[in-house]
Amino acid sequence: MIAVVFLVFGMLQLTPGDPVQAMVGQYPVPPEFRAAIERHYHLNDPFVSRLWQYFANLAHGDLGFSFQMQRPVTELILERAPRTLILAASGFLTGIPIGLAVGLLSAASQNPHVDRFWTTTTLIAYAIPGFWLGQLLVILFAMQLGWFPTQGMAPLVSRASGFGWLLERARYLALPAITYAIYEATRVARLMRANVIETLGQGYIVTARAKGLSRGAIVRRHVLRNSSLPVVTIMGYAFGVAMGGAVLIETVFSWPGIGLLLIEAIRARDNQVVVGVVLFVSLAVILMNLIVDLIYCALDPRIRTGS
Amino acid sequence: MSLEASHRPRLLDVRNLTVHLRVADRILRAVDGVDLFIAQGECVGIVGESGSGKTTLARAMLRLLPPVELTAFSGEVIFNGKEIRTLPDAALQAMRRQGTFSMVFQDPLGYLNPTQRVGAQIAEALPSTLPAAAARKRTLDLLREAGLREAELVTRRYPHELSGGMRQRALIALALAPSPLLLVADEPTTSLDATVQLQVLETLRHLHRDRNMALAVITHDLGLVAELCDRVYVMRAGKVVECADVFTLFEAPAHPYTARLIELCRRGAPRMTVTADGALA
Amino acid sequence: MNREPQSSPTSLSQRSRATSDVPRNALAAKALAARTFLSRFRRTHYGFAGFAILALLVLVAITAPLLAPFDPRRQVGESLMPPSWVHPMGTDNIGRDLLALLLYGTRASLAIGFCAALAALLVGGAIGALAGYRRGFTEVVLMRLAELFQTLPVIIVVLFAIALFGASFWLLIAAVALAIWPLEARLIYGQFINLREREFVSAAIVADLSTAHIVLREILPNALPPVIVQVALDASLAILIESGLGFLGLSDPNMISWGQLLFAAQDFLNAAWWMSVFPGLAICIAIIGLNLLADGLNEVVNPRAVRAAIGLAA
Repeated sequence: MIAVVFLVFGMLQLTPGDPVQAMVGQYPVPPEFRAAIERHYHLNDPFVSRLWQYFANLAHGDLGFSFQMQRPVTELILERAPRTLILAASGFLTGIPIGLAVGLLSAASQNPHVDRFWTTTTLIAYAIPGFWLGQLLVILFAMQLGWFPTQGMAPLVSRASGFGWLLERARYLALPAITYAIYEATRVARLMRANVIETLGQGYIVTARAKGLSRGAIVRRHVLRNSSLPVVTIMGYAFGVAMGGAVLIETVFSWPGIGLLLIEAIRARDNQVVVGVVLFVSLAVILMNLIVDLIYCALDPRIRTGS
Repeated sequence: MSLEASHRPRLLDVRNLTVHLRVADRILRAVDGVDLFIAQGECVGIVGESGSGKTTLARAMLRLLPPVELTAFSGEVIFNGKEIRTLPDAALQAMRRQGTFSMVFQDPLGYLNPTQRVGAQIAEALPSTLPAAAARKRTLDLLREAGLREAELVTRRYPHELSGGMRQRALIALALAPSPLLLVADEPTTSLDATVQLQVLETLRHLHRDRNMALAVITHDLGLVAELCDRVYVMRAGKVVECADVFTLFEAPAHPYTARLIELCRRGAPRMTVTADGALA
Repeated sequence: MNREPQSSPTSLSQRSRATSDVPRNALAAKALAARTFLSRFRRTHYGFAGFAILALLVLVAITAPLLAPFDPRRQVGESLMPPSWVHPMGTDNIGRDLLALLLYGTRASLAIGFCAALAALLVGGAIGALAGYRRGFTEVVLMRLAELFQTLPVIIVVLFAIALFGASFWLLIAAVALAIWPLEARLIYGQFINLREREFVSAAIVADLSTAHIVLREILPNALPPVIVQVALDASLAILIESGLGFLGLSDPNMISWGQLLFAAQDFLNAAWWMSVFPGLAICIAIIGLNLLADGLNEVVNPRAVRAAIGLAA
C-alpha cells in the first residue's frame, strides 16, 4: 500500500508543468493564493519533506481539496463511494450465482450440445465490452420499451417512501446492476466450468459413484462445493476489475458513484480528486484481496488444519 | 480349497470384455477380449506389470472407469445373474447401494474428498434410511473392522490429516459400508510402508474370511497374491495369458511370461515356495 | 556424418555452426516443424476462424481509404439518418457516414491494440527476463512490482496515466502498456525459471558464452510459443481498454476509433441506435477474433489431448 502511495506521488512529481496550476486545474491562480498554497504544501521544499508532508496529510485523512466542486476530496469520496459499492454488490450478488450455475451446467451436463452452447455464449458475452452492453440495454429496455429509467440513481423529485421508495430505487439500479452481473457472471462461468471439469476427473468422484450415489447427488454434494471453492480466490481480483468497470458503467448510466467522480475530475483537470480516487480505489482493492485470502483460508480445510 | 471354490456359483462372470481408449490421437487397447470369473467367497488375484490393463479391467467390469473417451466397450459382465455392462445408470447405482460389489482404489488421497470429513464420507455409503445415531455407530464399526483402532478420532478428521495407511483403511471401510458380496482391491498395499503393508494384508485376510466375501486383488506384487488368493489370472498387454490356482501357478507356470514374472519376484526374495496353507516360505 | 539431435530443442548457435556441413538437415527440420504447426493449427477450427477474422480486420484497416464510400470527417448527409442504401450504417449527429467512420476506425483501434501489446511484451518481457535470469533480490523486487500493478484495476492505472500526461497516440500506447506489462513479465519470468534449469543452458554457461548470447539465442526461442498466445490476448485486452478510453472521451481526439464512436453515441442513444450498435459490434468481432486465435495457438502449444492423457489411470 505504501508502495502505491509512493508510486502515485512519484508520478505526480513527474507531471510536466506548474504543480500549483496542476493542483488547481483550469482556473486562474491569483498570486496570494499561490503563495498560500506553496506554504501549505511546502512546494519549495526538497522532495523528501514534501513526501513526508503528503503522508502526514493522508494519515489525517486529508486528501486535498477539489477546486471544481469546492469541497474536500475526502468528503466527496466518502459520499460517493457507497453508491458505487451498492452497485457493485448487487452486480456481484446476482452475477456470481448465475455464473456458478452456468459453469456447472455447462461442464456437468451429459449433453455435449449444452456445453457447446453455453461455452459459445460465454465467449461472446466475454467479448462484449461492458459499456457497450450498458448502452444496448439502455437502448432496448429504457428507450424502446420504457421499462426502466435511462440514467441516474433516483428521480429528481421523489415522493415515495418505505417500500415504494425501495422499488423506485430498484428500478434505477436494475439496468446497471444487470450490466455488472453479466460482466461478473461470464468470468465466473469460465472459471467454474474449468473447475468442474477438473473436479469430475478426480478420484473421489469415482468413489462417490462406487458408493452408489446418483449423478445428481454427486454433483450436489461433491462437485459443487469443491469446484466453487477456488472461485473465491478470484473474488479479490474480480473486485478490482469491478472497480475499473465501475468507471465505465457509471458513465453510461450517469450513476453518481466514484467512477463518475473520477471521470469528471479528469475532464476538469481536478488532479487532487484524481489522485484521491486512485488512492482510495487502490486501498479498497488491496484490502479486499486481503479479506478474500483470509476467507479462503477459513473455507478450505486443507489450509485450515494444515497438511 | 481351490477346487471347491471353482465349483461354487459364480458371482461375477466376465466374457469377452474389450475396452479401447483414446489417448492423444492413438487408440489404446487396454483390455482385449478378456474372460474371467469370480466365484462366491473365493479370493482371486489379477497380476501383471504396469500397463498390462489390470486396473482398467477391474474398473471396467465394475463400471467405474474415469471420464475418458471409449472407442470400444463390449462384452458381457454378469453379476449374480444380472447383466451389468449395459444396465442403465439409475438401476446400476441402486444395485450398488444394496450391497453388491465395491472397490478399494490405489490412491487413497485422491479418492477421498479433501473437503469432507472421513466419517461423513463413509456414512454417505450407508443406506439413507438409517437414522443419524445408527449411521455413526455403523461408521465406527466399519472403521474398526478395517483395522483402525482409534475410530472416533478418524471419523472427525479430514483425509489429509491421516497417514497413508490410515487413509487406505478408511477407503476399505468405505468400500465395506454397503456390505458388498465382492470387494475389488486395486494395489491395496503398493503405496504403503512395509510394516503397514503387512497390517493391511492381514486386514484383508480377516475380511475375506469373517465376512465370507469374495475378494479380487489387483496387484503386481506376487507375494501378496501368494498370501491371499485361491486363483490367479495373469495379464499382459490387455489379455489374460494364464489362469490357474495359486499352487499350480507358482510351481508349474504354463506360460513363459508367468515364469518370468515369478523369476523376477523370486530375485527379490531368494527362497520362495508356497506351502499347503497358502503361506509364503 | 553429422547427425543433429532433432528431438531436443535445438539452439540456434548449434544450428548455425552445423549449417555449413549439413544444410539440408537443418532446413528439413524447420520445414517439418512448420508443417506440424500448421496442421495442428488448422485442426482447431476456432483458431483458424480467429486468424481469418484478424486477417480480414487488418485488410480492412489497410484498405480503408479504398473501401470507404465517403470521407469520414466530412458531412456527407443529413445528421442522424438511419441505415439506408446510401449509408449502410446510417449517419452520426454531424452527418458523417458511419460506415466510413467505422472502416477508418479499424486502423486506430488495431494499431493501438498491437502496438500496446508489443510495448507490453518488450517492457514486461525485459523485466521478466531480468528477474528470471538474475534471481535473488532483483527478482523479488521486480516480481513484487509486477504483482502490485496487476492487482490495481487496469482502467484506473490507465486513467491515472492519462490524467497526468495527456492522451496523444503514443501516450495512449504507453498508458495501456503500463497497465498490462505485468502479464507478459510474469509469463516470461516463468519461462525463464523453467528453461534456466535445462541442460543446454548449463552447457552454454559452461562454454562461457556471453549473457546476451545465452538469453537471445538459447532461452528466447524456446520460450516463445506461449508468449505468442499471450500477445494475442494482450492485444485483445488493449483494444478493449482503448475502446473504453475512447468511450470516456479521453482518447486521442485527433484520431477516429471505435471507442470514440461509442462516446458520440452516448448522447443520442434514443435517436440513433445505429451509432452504438455498429461500432460495438466491430469491437466485439475484433476481440472475439483475437481470443479465438489465442485459443487456437494455445491448442498448438499445449494440446488438450496431452493435457487429458495426464489424468488417465493406467
